[in-house]
Amino acid sequence: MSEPHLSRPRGPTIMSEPLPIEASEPLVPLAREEVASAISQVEESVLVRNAQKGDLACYDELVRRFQERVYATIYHMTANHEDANDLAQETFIKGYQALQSFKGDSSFYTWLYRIAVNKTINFLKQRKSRTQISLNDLDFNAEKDPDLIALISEKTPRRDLNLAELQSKLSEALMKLSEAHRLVVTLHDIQGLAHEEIATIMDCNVGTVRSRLFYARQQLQAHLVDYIK
Amino acid sequence: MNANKPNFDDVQKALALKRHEQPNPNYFSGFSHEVIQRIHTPDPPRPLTWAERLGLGEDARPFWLCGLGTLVCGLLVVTLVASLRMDKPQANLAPDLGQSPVAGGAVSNHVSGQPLPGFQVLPGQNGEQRSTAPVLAPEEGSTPFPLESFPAPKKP
Repeated sequence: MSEPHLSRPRGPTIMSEPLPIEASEPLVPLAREEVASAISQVEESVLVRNAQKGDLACYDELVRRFQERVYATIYHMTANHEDANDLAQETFIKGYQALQSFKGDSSFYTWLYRIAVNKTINFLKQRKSRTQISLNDLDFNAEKDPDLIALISEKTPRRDLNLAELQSKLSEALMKLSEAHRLVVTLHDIQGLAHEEIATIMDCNVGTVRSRLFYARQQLQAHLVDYIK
Repeated sequence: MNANKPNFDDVQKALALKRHEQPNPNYFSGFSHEVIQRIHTPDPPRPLTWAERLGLGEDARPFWLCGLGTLVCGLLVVTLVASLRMDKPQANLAPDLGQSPVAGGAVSNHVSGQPLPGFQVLPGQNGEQRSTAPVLAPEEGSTPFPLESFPAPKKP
């Protein structure tokens, strides 16, 4: 049985869903939107394999799937939108250049995160103390977040504190942490990753992740004592 | 137990604020396109700084540090060897100035005939006696060698 262009993945990977295009049907040129829509349905492992063969359309789809998460991680580490933009682009470029070295030992997402984290940490070490904070605006949902509303209005010693000021103080407190501690807080408390996944990204054990998280939260609590109870 | 456990709930709620920090809505619409463009047309290599042109860039720093360390160690070794060589000629001169008689009799004073410390009388080829004492005859009452402060060599 001949295999269509986008074949089932081989090896001990999860099975992909049956593909809509079969070899027996006549080939019809698809519009760009249709191609994009078809690609968005393809599994990650297939996209990675095709991208490794040089298919830039598949790599483009991978970029679209992970761009927000990669950008967010770098942004929270650097507290600077422009730096995060540059580093995020460089992460994906480096990812494409190093794609042949991806063996599938971890998820592509984890592998890409490692590139992003290493690039960001190297960038921060070169920049050292020359921190330039350039924060994104809060979206309109921030004012509706019940936890934040409760935090600001009832529990803060400073009742006149507003969200923008808390955002600024929070960013300053985060930048006072070391890169490793800031990273665990970013990945766990901001992006919601599990301890095990963070341990894989940071190449350390779960106990180290937990202890760093504990210490980082302690430090943040101390820095923000005037703004939160 | 629970009273001792630190409560980080407020910190975690404050950190939730960070999730609401978003770039402008259209930011990601062209992000992947920019990435693919940069993959197609890689950025030109940045121009080398003067330090990198001279081989003093960050990549060459370990080699320069090793070279500097080697140079310093070499200078120390050269200095040490030179100081040891300077000591050696002084040790070689000592037998000429007051060579201790290992064998043979003591040298006699030319004036008093008393044996001079540190000089030997050696038998010559024709039976004459030769000494290692200086040629110039000393003044009466004076020692043949002005450096008489040299202590007499101890006999083994």
